[in-house]
Amino acid sequence: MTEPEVKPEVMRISWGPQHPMSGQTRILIDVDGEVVRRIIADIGFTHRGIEKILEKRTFIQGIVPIERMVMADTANIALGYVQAVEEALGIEVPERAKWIRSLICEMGRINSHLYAFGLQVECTGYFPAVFLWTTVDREVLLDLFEKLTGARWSYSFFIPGGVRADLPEGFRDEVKRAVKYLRRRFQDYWDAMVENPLFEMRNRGVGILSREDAIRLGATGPVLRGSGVDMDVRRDEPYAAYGDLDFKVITEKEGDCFARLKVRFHEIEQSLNIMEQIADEIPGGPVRTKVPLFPRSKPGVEALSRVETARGELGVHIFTDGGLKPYRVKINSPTLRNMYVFERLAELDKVLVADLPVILYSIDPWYLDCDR
Amino acid sequence: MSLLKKLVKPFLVVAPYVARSSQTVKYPDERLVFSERFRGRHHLDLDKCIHCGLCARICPCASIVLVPVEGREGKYPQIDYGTCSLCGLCVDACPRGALTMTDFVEFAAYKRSELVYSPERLAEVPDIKEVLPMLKRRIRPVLTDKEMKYEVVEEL
Repeated sequence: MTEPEVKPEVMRISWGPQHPMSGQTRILIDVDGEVVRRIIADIGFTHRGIEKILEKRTFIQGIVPIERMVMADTANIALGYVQAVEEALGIEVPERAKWIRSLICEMGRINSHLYAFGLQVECTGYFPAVFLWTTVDREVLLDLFEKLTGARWSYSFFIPGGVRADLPEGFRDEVKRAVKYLRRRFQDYWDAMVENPLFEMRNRGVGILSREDAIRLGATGPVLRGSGVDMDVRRDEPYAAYGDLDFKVITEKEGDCFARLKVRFHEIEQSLNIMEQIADEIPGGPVRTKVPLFPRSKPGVEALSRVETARGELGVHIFTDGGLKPYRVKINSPTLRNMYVFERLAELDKVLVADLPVILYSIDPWYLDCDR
Repeated sequence: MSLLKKLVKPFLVVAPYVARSSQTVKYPDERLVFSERFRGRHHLDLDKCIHCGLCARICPCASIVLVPVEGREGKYPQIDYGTCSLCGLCVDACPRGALTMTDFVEFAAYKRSELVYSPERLAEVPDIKEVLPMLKRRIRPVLTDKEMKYEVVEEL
């Protein structure tokens, strides 16, 4: 990256590349005393060429590298790719497989939001125990993932034509038990953390993003909904089983760090409701249609899939040229869009150096997702 | 709610957790029992393998190579666990079910070359006691309505 010139009245600090809580990235900040005048995110610092890697893999092989984009939320990311492949190759998916996909996606969303919640609490500096709490509660979901998919992270469970296996015996009861346990825990989180005046003081009124700015800068996910824009791909353009499921899209008006946290928190509640609905109402039938191991595409087909991941809207755009591999895969990742918003926040609102970590983790960045 | 009440409330919520059972696994002494579908090290059945090479073709990480085995005809898969991501696509692709996955995850080695498992080595899975001599018990997580705890499945 070519660094913009430094004005004489400010001091430039390089924040990173080592970040204690998330991955590696480099962020430059121009400070005037304690006030941040400008934020420059070094987008592309951890570029790994995932789009290029996908061109060198067959359609089914591509599932494994694309999951490495966001390890906390692999299910939603993989679903975006798999749906695009299905559209490009014209593959039908059985109804039961769609419901299982939604179940795994919601579990992944809770997993990711818990991580984000833990980080945001941790970076305020007061409550180190809460990050351990969320880590332990994620364990409940990881055990469910292990029983269903065979892996705790990076499940590689969705394949074109359905999912790789049916629900194991007694799994629906286990989902219900986990939902009951997590509901009780989230009540404790709410009482101990969200209603905690110290935590509220640190988050309320910090990093305000107005509704107009959120739309103008192209924010997405909880950042957009935290600014009062009612938008969610799951409801607006239903995929998987979301058309049949009953859930609310959460919005908060304030647009500050606290609003974004509350959006995530209420989304977890909605996800738990969805998990319960799926456990109760999942239809029977096959979970997989027969697809060849190396499916061949038709030349000149274009497919686009939109998925609501935990961090926002993911778009996967596939072009085919009639071969065994995609000709080009373009990924529109959610964190990239939110990082642009983060860069502009110093212009929109008064930002202090001490508030910077809180603001950064309130947009829930995943730098590998941003740089792909 | 008054500010004082708000300040005291978190402590009241947290207090019962002091008595909660430990959430960590003391790994070399205890080891989790993984679920049936757990994707760990492969097991290769040499008699079932028909040398088709589909496992090598589908592997996204190019970890599988077919190599000859002494005293047998044809070539068998050799897996490099330095690059394998344990996705299990090879197991799905195998038309005869010769490749399966075990719950064995202890891969640590001193050299990278030791991570390349020959077909003969894949054919036998060592006993857990040989790899973890200090292992005392195997446990599994149990979720009750109130807490998550571990119960002992087997004392060794």
